[in-house]
Amino acid sequence: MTAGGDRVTAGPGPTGSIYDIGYRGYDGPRLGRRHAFVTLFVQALRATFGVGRSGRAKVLPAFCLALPALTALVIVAFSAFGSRFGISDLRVLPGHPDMAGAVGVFATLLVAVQAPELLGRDVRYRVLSLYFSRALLRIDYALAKLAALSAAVLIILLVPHVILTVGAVLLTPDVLGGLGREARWWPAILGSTILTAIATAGVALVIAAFISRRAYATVAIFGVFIVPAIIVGVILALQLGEASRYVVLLDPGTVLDAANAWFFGVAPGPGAWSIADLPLSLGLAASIVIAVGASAILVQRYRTIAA
Amino acid sequence: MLEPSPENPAPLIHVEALTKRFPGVVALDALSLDIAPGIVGLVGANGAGKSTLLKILLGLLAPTSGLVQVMGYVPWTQGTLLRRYVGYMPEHPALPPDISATEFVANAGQLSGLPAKAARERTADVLRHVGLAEERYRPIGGYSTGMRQRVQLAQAIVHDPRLLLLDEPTNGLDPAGRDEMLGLIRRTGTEFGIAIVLASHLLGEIEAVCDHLVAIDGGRLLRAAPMAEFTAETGILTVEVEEGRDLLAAGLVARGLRLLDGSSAHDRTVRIALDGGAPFDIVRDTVADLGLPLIRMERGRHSLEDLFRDDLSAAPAAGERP
Repeated sequence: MTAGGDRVTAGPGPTGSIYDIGYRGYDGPRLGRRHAFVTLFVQALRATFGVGRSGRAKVLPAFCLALPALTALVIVAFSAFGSRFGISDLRVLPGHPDMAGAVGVFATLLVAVQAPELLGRDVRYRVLSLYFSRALLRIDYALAKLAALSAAVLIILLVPHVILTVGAVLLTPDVLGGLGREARWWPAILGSTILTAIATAGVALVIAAFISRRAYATVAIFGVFIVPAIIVGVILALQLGEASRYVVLLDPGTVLDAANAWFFGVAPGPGAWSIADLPLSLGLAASIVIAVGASAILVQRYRTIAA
Repeated sequence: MLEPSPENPAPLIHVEALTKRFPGVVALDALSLDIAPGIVGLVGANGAGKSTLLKILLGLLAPTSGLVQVMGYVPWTQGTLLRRYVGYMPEHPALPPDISATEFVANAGQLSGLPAKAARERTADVLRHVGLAEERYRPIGGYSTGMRQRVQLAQAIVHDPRLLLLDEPTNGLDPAGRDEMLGLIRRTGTEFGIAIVLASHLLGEIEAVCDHLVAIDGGRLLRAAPMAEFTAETGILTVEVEEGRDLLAAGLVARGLRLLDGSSAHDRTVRIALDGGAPFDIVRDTVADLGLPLIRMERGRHSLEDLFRDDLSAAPAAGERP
């Protein structure tokens, strides 16, 4: 449609009259909400990984993506050449159930930096009024951002699992048997990573939605994932009584660890949840409450935010 | 003439008994009006309800009561369908600083329903129309106010809307930038065939650009009429002479013309009531007979300011639609 448009070279004149090749209307399809939602989702996902942005914007996402992958690659390498390092029993190596604990910090890092990036700019520069005047609803905006950041976290969490699975299958003489063994892990992998991704992204976006200054929002998000763990640790150490062990439910990190342990059917790692000695299903329920609650608060916030 | 919407030939904008209350404030008070395609000026003082009306027309605010239809759609319940055909330029700057005009406008086009490829093509077209050349690939943060306003206009027309809602589009522009922006708006309305509602508190802008005028005050309609009615010729003929003004006045009265008060002695003009007639020959002959040095003979025109001032002072009586 624009054939010839770029053929015209630069010329003087602020009115741009030499560029004028007449206004053309648009008779093509006009898509609706779904298209707008997908557009927002893709745009936010690209922004989270710094695609189409400056090199500086790519550093942190690349770091968050590379280190978990590296961790998994090292594990695969050890299982391949384990005997040379004197490891006779490969079961001592970390496996799928251990990944959440190993890479969770990178998910936290990513959301703490990128959630304020995804929301704060549009509020601070009042871009929201231009979004809301298009073929979408306020709720679409909020859910597209949530979906995109969740997807980004999910990718970071899944990459090491994929590497472990590929490594395990390639290292087995019996490929089909290896595939079968690995496939049994994947329901737990998907369940735990999807829940963790939505909860982590949701909590971060809720905080970013209420604090439009990027630096403050980043600090606040780190705070929510770190400070409760310390307080909970202190309270548990004080051994204040039976009821006090329920304070672990206030720490999103510990709660998500418990949910992961539930999915994989393993004991929770040494930490607050083990000390509190609550059923893992309670951790699962609390994680679901966090994920659903954060999403609901986010949507409600964007229903009423000034634009 | 434009087609309001493919689905519906209803009037472009139909508003009936529209009331919008905010806590403690009545922003719109039983407002009724119909707007036909064209370039329509929406005037009123700050706080008259202009921005509130535009946001209701877009479906961004729910009316407290009353009926609103835009191209046959009810904005509050059918907003996402309606907004595929509507462009909006808010009164405040609303652009992110860190991405380029090209990226922003293309994205805006997609969010209004254009497929990605069409959005990119129309972005190039539209940015050229608003006069953004090489700079469109640079981040918006480095643009002048005038360039930003052009980008804001571009994002509003990238999806070839049938209706364009502009809220104080010359905010913050210097006089030259203001004139350029008004020229662009005028072209958008005439050459591009997009219906425009232009909200402004600056009468000069409205007069320069619009065909129709809707005046609101305190959330109520003052008057809605074609611009021509506001700036129509008055029934007054002004005659100015170098000297002998009183002689002329006496001569004209002697020939049966009615003079108006305000033809005061300390200026050199006589104001003649036309009363439906055209006494140009009588005036010429009188001047010639008296041998007076004639400077000018001019039919008066209302200025928008006059009428708006009159309307405002007579606001309670002028509440109905003309």
